[in-house]
Amino acid sequence: MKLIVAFLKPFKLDDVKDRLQRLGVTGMSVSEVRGFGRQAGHTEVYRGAEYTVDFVPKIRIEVIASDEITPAIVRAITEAGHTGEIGDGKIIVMPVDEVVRIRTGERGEDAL
Amino acid sequence: MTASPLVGYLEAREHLASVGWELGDERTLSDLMDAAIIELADSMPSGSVVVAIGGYGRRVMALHSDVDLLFLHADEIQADVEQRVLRPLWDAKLKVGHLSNTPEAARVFAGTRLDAISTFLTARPVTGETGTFDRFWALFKGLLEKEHAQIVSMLATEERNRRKLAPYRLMAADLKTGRGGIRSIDLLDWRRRLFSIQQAPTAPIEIEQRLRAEMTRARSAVHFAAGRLHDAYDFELRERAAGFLGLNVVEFGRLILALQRETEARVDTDWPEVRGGRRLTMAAMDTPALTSRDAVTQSAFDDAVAGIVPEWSRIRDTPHVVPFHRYPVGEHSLACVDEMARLLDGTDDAIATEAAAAVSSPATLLWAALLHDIGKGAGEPHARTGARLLADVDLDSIVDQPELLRFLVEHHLVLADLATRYDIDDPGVVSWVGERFADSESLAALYLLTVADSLATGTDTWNEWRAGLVRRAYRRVEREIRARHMPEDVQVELLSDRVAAASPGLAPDVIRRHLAGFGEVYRRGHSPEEIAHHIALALAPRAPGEIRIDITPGNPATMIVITEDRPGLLLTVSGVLALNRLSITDARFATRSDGLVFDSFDIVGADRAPIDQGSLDAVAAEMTAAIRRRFDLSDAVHAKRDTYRPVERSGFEPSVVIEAEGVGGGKITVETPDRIGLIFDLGRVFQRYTMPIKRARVDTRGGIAYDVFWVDRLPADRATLQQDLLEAL
Repeated sequence: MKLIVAFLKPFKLDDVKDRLQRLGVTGMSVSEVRGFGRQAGHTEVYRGAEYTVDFVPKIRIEVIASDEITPAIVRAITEAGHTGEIGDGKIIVMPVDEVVRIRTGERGEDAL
Repeated sequence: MTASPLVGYLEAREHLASVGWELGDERTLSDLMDAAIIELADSMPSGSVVVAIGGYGRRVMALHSDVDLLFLHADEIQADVEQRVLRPLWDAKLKVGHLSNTPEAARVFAGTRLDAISTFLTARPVTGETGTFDRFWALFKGLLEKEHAQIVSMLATEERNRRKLAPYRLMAADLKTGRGGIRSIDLLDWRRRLFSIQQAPTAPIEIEQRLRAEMTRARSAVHFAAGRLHDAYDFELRERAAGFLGLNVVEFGRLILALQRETEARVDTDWPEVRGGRRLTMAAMDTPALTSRDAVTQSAFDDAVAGIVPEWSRIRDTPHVVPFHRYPVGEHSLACVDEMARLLDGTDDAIATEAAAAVSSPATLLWAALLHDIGKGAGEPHARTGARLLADVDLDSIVDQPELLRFLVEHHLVLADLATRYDIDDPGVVSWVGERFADSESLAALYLLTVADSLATGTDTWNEWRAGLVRRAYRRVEREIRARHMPEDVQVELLSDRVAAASPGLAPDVIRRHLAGFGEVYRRGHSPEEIAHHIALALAPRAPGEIRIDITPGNPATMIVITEDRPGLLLTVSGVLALNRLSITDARFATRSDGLVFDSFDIVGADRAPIDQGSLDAVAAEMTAAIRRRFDLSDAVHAKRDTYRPVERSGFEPSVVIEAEGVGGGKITVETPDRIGLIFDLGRVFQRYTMPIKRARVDTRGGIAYDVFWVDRLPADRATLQQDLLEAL
């Protein structure tokens, strides 16, 4: 099993969610985060005054999936989250030792 | 062997949990508990009495109500006897509150403690020595007579504090102690009992009995859903609780809200002292009936609003079904008014402060806050429905800017949507949104409404994350609106510099000539990089009739068609794409003054998947051939369309809005569930009316297509055109 964490532009969330649902992904955590990567914030001009916004709003999604479906999920997020511009985000894939569904006690892929 | 009365009580409760709750069951449970107490206290010594107090004393028990008992003993406390009554109740896992005392000590205990006094006010002997109870009641009555004024004042303070601490009724309301809950009915009842000690009851109480019985029924449903004594109507309990009464979540929500409102109205009517601390500050409104908020009841306020906007009555008790909404629709609207009033007074939000200064009619914004969700529950999308409902309302009589009010209601989600669901780095998107605003004031007003709406939605709906996005979107649109007011030659000059910077190889005069051939919509709807790309594509000498198709792979892929303008071009392009099962997610059409079109299409494959290079090349070849030969693709497209099921978007009504724009021209806005061949079908109608499309914006979001087409001329009979377009959808 893998934990897939992705940082996306906020407006791409609907597209990514649609794609993952079509893949049969039934659960996803979403959080609102702020940060910077190579994008390093952006400059806004407002009424002639220019100032820098240090942290850029992003969406962080987390999905736990079986090893088999993980490549398809990564591909779907890459495609749906893509704009081609700086700041499209990152996808991180990590191994998962165990998953337990608290309600039933099911473990492993049965708990996904 | 006959089951004990306590077992009878427990079985009755189980039975009610399985068959549902009827009015009157609250009394049935109380009577069964009486029987249980009588049997358990069978061996009470003389001089002792078991007294029911609290809700049980009033003979009202919900499904998992606690059992409040007062053990009175003539001389000294008989702890062992009490244990014989209490232990079986505890063993049955009932929640029991009990107090043991002599009549004198009980009276001292009550003192001026409101919780004890209110609990004792409904005291009644269940079994035992009634003489001991009478002795207690005489002492207690003396206390009530002596402290009458102070106790009544404490009751009023409790109700006033309830309203002050919870300015609005909650979705997750506590049905016992929350606004309009049973406790408010109790206060009326206690107050009446206090008065009845000195004089005859002041008013009939049938209404309160009905309200109490109905709220106890609702409370029992929540107890059932929670499986225990729990009075908060929490989100996760709603479906199960509603089902207990044979209702759906919306019906049950409406029932609770109606009961709460009727209860508060009853308190307001019967008890003017608690009306203080009204929750709305609407003095800025110019409507006489709404200005003196402290002097009127909530019912009077609601009646006054409904007198102007009848739909207010419909949304007043409409629940929200999504968990992030803290308040029901009507309460959310009132909270939004308060937040708007605060924003207009000035906040730490620099943009809000500037926006407030730009607003010329604060009353219009307060009304917009009150009515922004007026379309909820009357059809989706509710913002558009709300604007439609307000079309028949005489808004001139209440605000200075009725058009701004309607605009704000219709577009109240635009800024939040733009911020979170659109790419605001796309100049076309910002341009498209900017077109909706008549001026900076309407944008400022919308910013304030967006913030007030978010603040009034939930505790975390307006956080720094969301605020940052909305502020950024606001700035972009604000800049766009200001740019529109620049002289055209300045706009062209500034843009030329940016295009040159994007593509240093292009000669400045070539850039200026290209830009001069278009209107401002093209200039604002394309990035400098896109314009530079257009110029590069068109730079090489062209043969007459030559068709240039450029495709940039990606998801979406971008296809640019450059050729001479001709009738039916859109039809051919959209038809070929539909035949290849490709969807257009964004389209921009532009015709240069020399007759050359620069049409741009963002396209994706089935299920929004990327399109491989081979397919893109094939589409380009097919497109070139189809444009050249002017095929009629209608039959083929419809055959293709019929093999695919459209995305289900239940409840979304397609709409077509036709507006005049410029001299004879017009703008046609279409919103409908997306499907294969949609643009093609619309294009056929445009062609039938011989209406060349000057430009268009196509956008698809969440399965809904939002398309806008600008045409040079509109037919005289717009209603028929609208009908034909709706049929094509």
